[in-house]
Amino acid sequence: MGHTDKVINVALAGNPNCGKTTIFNHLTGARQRVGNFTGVTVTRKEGTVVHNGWTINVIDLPGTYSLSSKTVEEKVAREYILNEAPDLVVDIVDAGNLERNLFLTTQLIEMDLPRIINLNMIDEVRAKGVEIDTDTFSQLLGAPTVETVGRTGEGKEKLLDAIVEIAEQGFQTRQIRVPYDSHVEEAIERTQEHIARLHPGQVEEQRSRWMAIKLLEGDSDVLAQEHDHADLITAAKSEQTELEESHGEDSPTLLADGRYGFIHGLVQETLQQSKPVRAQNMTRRIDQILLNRALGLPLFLFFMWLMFQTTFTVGQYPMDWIDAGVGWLSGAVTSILPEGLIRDLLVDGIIGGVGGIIIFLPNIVLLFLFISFFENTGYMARAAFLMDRFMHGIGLHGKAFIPLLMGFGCNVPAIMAARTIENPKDRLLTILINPFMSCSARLPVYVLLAGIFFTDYAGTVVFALYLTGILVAMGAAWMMKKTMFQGLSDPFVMELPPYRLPAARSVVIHMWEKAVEFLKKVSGIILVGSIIIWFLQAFPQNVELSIDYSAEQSRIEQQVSAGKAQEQALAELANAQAAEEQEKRYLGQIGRTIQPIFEPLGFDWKGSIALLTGFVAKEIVVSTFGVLYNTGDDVDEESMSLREAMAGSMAPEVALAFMVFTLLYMPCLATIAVIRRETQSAGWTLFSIAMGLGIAWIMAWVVVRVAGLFL
Amino acid sequence: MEVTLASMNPGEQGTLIGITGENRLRRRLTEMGFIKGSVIGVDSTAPFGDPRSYSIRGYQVSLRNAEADQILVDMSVD
Repeated sequence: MGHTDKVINVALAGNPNCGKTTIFNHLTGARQRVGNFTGVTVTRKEGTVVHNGWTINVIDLPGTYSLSSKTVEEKVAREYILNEAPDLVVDIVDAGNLERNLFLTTQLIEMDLPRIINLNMIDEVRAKGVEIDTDTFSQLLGAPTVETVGRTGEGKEKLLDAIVEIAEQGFQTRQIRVPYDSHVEEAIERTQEHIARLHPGQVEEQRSRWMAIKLLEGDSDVLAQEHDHADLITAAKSEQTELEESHGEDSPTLLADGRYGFIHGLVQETLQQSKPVRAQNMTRRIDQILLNRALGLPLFLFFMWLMFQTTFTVGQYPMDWIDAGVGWLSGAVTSILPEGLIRDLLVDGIIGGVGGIIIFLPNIVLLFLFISFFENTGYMARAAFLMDRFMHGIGLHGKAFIPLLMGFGCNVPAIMAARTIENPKDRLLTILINPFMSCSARLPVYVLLAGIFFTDYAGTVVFALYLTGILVAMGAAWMMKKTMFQGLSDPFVMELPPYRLPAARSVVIHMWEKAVEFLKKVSGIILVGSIIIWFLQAFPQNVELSIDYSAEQSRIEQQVSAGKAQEQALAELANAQAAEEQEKRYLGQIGRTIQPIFEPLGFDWKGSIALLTGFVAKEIVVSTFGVLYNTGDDVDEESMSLREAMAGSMAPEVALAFMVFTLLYMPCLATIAVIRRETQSAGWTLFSIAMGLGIAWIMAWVVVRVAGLFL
Repeated sequence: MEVTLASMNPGEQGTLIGITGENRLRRRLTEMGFIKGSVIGVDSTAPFGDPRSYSIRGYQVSLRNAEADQILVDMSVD
C-alpha cells in the first residue's frame, strides 16, 4: 500500500501558555485521541491530518520551559523525543515572549531533530509594531520558520506545507551550534572525544555534543545511562568542577548563560522593535484591577460565586432533561421486556445506577467550561497567585485552591482539575483531601436530617457541616504534609501569562474532552458498581417474610371498601413489604452485620444500610431512608411523610453524627473511579477510602460523645 | 546598591546580579531567563503580601517572598 509509506510523525513542543494546544486543535480538528503517557497523569493527545497525500500523525507534548527532566512534564517530553524519535518536531514559540521561549528551542537544536519553528500569536507582536525577520531567523536556527495566529487559525496551511516539505526532502537537518564560552566549549570537546572513544563510530557528532553538554550539566538521566563508563563520568565530573571553580557559577547556570547569550544575539538581529521589552500594557492595566490588593480577593470570590451560581441554575435544565430521559428509558424498557430479573437488572440496576450519576454530567461540563475559560484567559494563574499565601499555610500550592473549591459542586471535576498542579505530590495531596469538600449530592441528606432533628437552626447545622469538611481537609493536608509528603516543595515560580481572549473553539473542545473523558473512563467502574449494588439489593430473590403480604392484600381489597382508605392501606402494605424485603436481602444482611461497627455511633441497621447505598451516590441515602421508613422510594429531602416517619427514630446527637459521617466517609463511586484514574494507583485509591472511613468514624464518635452532653 | 528582590518596592526595577540558595530554585529560574544582567521589575503584590509578581524578559512571573529573597539585584544602574 503506497500511501501508508507517506506517514509523518510530528511532535509539538513548546512552553506552557504558548498556544500549543490551540495549534494542535487547528491541525487535527476533532479527530483526536486523548489518553495518558504511560505510568503518569500527563495528558497525551494525538491526532491525524492528511495533507498533500501525506498522513501526518501529531502528538501534543506537555508544555515545558526546558527539557532538563526536572518535572514530570519535562521528563515525558524529553523521553518521547529521545525514545520515540518523531520524524520532526514543531517548536511552538510565543512570538511575544521570544527570549524565554527560545530557551527550549536551543535544547531542541542540541537534540538535533528535524524541526520547524512556529512563531505563534504573531498578531500580538504585529499589533505592537514589531516585525520579525523570519528569513534570518530560519537561517540562524537552522529550521524553517512559520508564522501563525492560534486564535484564528491563520498560517495553519503554511505549517502543514512546511511539514510536508521537510518530509519530501527526506528529513534532513541543518546542524546548528549554540556557542558557549570558550572554556565550556573546550570542556565539551574533551568530553566528546571521551565519548567517541567509548562508543567508536556509534554516536553522531551532534548527539555526542548533546551528551557531553548533559554530562557537564550533571544531568542525572544521562549520568545513569552512562553508569558503565565510570571513567567518562569521573572525567565529566572533574571538568564540571573545574568549570564551576574557575567561573564561580554552577555549570547549569554557565550553560544557560551561553544559551541566553545566543538567544539575545538572535533576537537583536531579527527583531525590529523600538520599545523596551516590558509585559503587555493591556495585561498590566487589567492586573491593576484583578490583582489589586484590596479588590483582587473580592473579585476572585465573586467569579467563583458566579461559576457555581451559573453551574447550578443553568445546569438544572439539562439535568431535568436527563432525568426525564432516564425515566422515559426505564419506562420504555419496563413496557417492552417481560417482568423478571433481566428487566430489573436493566431498569433498577443499570439504567437507575448509571442514570443517577450521569445526572451530574451537566454540572461537570459547566464547571469545566468555567475552568477552561479561566485557564485560557490567563486568570487561573492569577487565582493561584491570590490564594497562594493562604494555601501555603497548609502546605499546598495556590493552584490547589480552585480544585478544592470545585469540590463543593462535585468532587469528580474537582479531582480532574487538580491536573493543573504540576508537582505530583501536591497534586496527589489535593486529590486525597478533595472528597472532604462537601459536594452538592450530600446536601439532601443534611437538609433531611437537619430539618427533622434541628428544625429551628437547620441552616446553622448545615453551615457547620461545610465548615467541618474544610477544617478536616486542612487538617488532613497538614498531617499528610508532615508525615507522608515530607521534603522540599517545588519552588513557586509561576508564569502569569498575558490576558488573552480565548478562541471559543479551544474552550469548547476542552470542555467536550473532559465530558467524554468522564463518560468513557469512569463509566466502566460506575456500571460495574451499579450492578453489584443492584445485585445486593435484589438477592436473594425469595426472602422469607414475616407475614403473607399477598394474602393481606386480598384481605384489604375485600374488607375495605374501594376508595381513598383502601388505596392508602394498600400503599402502606406495599411499603412495609418493600422495607422488609430490603432488610432481608444481602445488602440488608450486610447492613445488619456491620451495624456493630456503627453501634458506638448510635446508628441503627437502617442507618447502616442507607450509608451502604450512599456509596453509589450520596444523595441515594435519602431514598433508601424512604424505603426503610415505609414511605416508598419516591421521596426527597423535603417529603413531609418521610420527615414524620423518621422523627424520633434517633437522638439528635446521633442524627448530627450521621450527617458528619455522611460528610466524611468514603467518596462516592464516581469519585473513587476518578481518583483511581487520576492517581493511577489502586493503593492510593484504597488509602483514600480508608482514610475517609477512619476519619468519619472518629469524628462521628466525637460528635456523639460531645453533642450528647449538650443536646 | 545591592538588594534582594524581596526588599524592592512595587514599581522599582534593577539588574539581576545572582541567585543564592538551593540548586533547584536556581536552576528553574535560570531556565526561565533569570540570568545575570537581566532587568527585573516588581509588579503586583498578593492580598496577604506574599507572593508578588515580577516582570522579566517581557513576561510576568510570580515568586514567593522566600524565593525572591534569594535573588540579588543591583538597583543603582537605573
